[in-house]
Amino acid sequence: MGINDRMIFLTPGKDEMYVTKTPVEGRTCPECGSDDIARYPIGWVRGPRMVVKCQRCYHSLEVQRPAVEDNWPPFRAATYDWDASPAEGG
Amino acid sequence: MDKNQFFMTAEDVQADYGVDLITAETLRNGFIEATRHMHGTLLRSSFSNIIRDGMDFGVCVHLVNDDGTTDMVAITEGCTQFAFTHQHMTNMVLDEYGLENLGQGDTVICNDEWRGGIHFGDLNLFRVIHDADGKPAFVVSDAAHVFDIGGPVAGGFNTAAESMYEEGLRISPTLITSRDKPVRSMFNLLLENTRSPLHMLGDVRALLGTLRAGEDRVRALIDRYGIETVKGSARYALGLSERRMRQALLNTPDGDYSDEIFLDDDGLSTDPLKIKVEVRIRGAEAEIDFSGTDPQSLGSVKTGWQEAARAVVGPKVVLDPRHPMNGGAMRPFQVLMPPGSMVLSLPPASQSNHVEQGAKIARLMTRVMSQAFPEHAVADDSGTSGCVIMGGVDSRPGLEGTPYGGVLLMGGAWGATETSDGISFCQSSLFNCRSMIIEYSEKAMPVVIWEHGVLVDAAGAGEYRGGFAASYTYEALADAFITPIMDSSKFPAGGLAGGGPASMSFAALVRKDDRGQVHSFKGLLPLERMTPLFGAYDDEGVPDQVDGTWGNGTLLQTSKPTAYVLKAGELMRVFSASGGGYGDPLKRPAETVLYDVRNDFTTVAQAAEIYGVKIDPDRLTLDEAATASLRERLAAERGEGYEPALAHPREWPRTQAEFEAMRKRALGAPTAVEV
Repeated sequence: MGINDRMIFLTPGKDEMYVTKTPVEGRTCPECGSDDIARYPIGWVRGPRMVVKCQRCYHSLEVQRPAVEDNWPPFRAATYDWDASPAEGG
Repeated sequence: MDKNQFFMTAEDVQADYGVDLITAETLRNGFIEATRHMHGTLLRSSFSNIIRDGMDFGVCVHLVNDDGTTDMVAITEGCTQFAFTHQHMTNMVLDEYGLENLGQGDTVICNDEWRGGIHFGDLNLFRVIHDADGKPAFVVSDAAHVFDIGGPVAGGFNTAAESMYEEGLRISPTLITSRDKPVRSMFNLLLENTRSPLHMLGDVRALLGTLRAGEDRVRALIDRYGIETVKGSARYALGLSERRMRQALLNTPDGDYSDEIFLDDDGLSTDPLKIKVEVRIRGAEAEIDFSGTDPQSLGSVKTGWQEAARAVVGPKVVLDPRHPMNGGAMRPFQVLMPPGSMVLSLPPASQSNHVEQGAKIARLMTRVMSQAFPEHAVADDSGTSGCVIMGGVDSRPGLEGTPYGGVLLMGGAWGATETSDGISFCQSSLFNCRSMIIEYSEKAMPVVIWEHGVLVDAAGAGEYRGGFAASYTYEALADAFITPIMDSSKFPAGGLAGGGPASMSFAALVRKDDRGQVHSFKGLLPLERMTPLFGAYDDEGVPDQVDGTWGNGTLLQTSKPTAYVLKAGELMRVFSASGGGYGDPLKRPAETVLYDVRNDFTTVAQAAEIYGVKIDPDRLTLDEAATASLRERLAAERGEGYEPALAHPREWPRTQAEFEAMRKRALGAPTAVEV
């Protein structure tokens, strides 16, 4: 991943914008029994998260911390994974 | 559905949080009291008028959880949005900086929208409170809109900015104190890149002192009750808010509730901007989905992360308005924001004028939640911050050459409910900032405020009418850069349950009369002294939002101009949008309509046309028989589905002579005192 990839973005050109939901195979909702499960990015009380959620009854199966490949939130500091310097308390 | 599923007994409190109920309640209020001390400290010691007068700030106490996340335990009066964004921002900033890297006396500063902030003009500070073992236990945070953050436009609002590079300093999480010593490099960055080092230094010191005051109060609680009891009580405070919100959701019918709303434009083009939302309520949880929203605009009216938090303002207002806010109330909500849209613009997007979208989101979410919970429904509020940013160089004796800047916060008005009129002279629920004190504003800036009042007939009609927004007439005493932020000039606040829409925002330049005075009456001025600036006018220059055309003969084609130059001695009049009405206007008690007429809120003409109330125009007395007859006729004519016309003044005096005659006639009638 390049340094710019999560810092500088092109202006989108679509008429309307939608959140992309990724289908999750092999899981069943414990509340309603549906296998229509999707994983997608959310803003949650403790910040950016990924939710695994039933699309029939909207029961949340899991709320996860985003993985690097989730690119969520879109912006991320270039130094996010760097060690703190002594001047920063490291 | 169990209406008491989330109810807690004293035994539950002891079992779940390890604290007896009385102590837990004492400490829940102790946290709120700590934020009140922070509030008082910041109010007394800050320099910028938007902080000490407008209360554009937030002060919070957060609990540090075992996994290093934080939950906002308490916040007190201030600018509402911080009560939501700081829950997110504290997590996002400390996640990035590393809680483990912060020792006692360290303070982190950040103003970044993509890290949970609101716009660069708001400085957010975070200070960790450690327990006796040196383990992070609590965090105190504060946020305030400072006088200036640099960039091409004073005051931090640059609507015309096409990128963040035109909006001043962007500060990633950075130390500003280390072991209680100021980090000189950070102070110098702030002081040397903004327009008034005096204000910046004063405000930053006030923010730092506020955190110290908060820490002192929290430490006093820990010293008295012990760390485990205090942390348990914090968990109780959060759990109580969560349970109340979940219970309110559970009491709301499951369903998908949706609506959309439009901003007038982005200040660069005339295209309206759509924000769409669907709220899916299932049991005690809700998903708020902004899919279908327009892509991010070029001008700075969109936002970066804020709506993930601010979207919950509407549900809080409708579902659980009375309980003190904390992070627990946000737990049942998940927010979906399409990247690259108005609600999640991507860097290097501009966002400094986030306020109008924020006001619209609050209105939209309140409207949607009102569908779900109609007994708590509120008609549309103004949907605008109704503020004017001023900046420039002072020329008053003794202040020559001094940079100045500040805000005139007029606010707007709230919509009506099924039990009361909308609140007048009031900020959106998103802001709750204070309408500026005239004398403070005139001292802080080279400005004379000639008028601060309401415009007659502007509130949405109804059994309960909407609130009246404020109008301001102000004169620049030195050349000033004026940035009015007044959306809702094209799309009015709507009514509910048969109530009517409200008057929209507009503005004009004003010339003084032959005596060098500016007089208005019922918010009206002689048209010969007004030059249309923005809004809807007819071909003769009459403000006319029913039959007029937006931008007809106006000097500007946006209600959000950036750095408009108002020369010394020139005057500007701004009218903010009002609130929508609730219920059938024919059901409004005739005596109440008479009261509104005698108090210059409603004209005799509107009383008859909309409310069906006949009032003698000279004596201002009620004609009960004629009223009964008129109401019967109007009810038959209107039938089902009638919606009152958009509220607007029916008569504008064309000349100074007409204006004087109108005022003389009215002043001869009984006054409000005699009602």
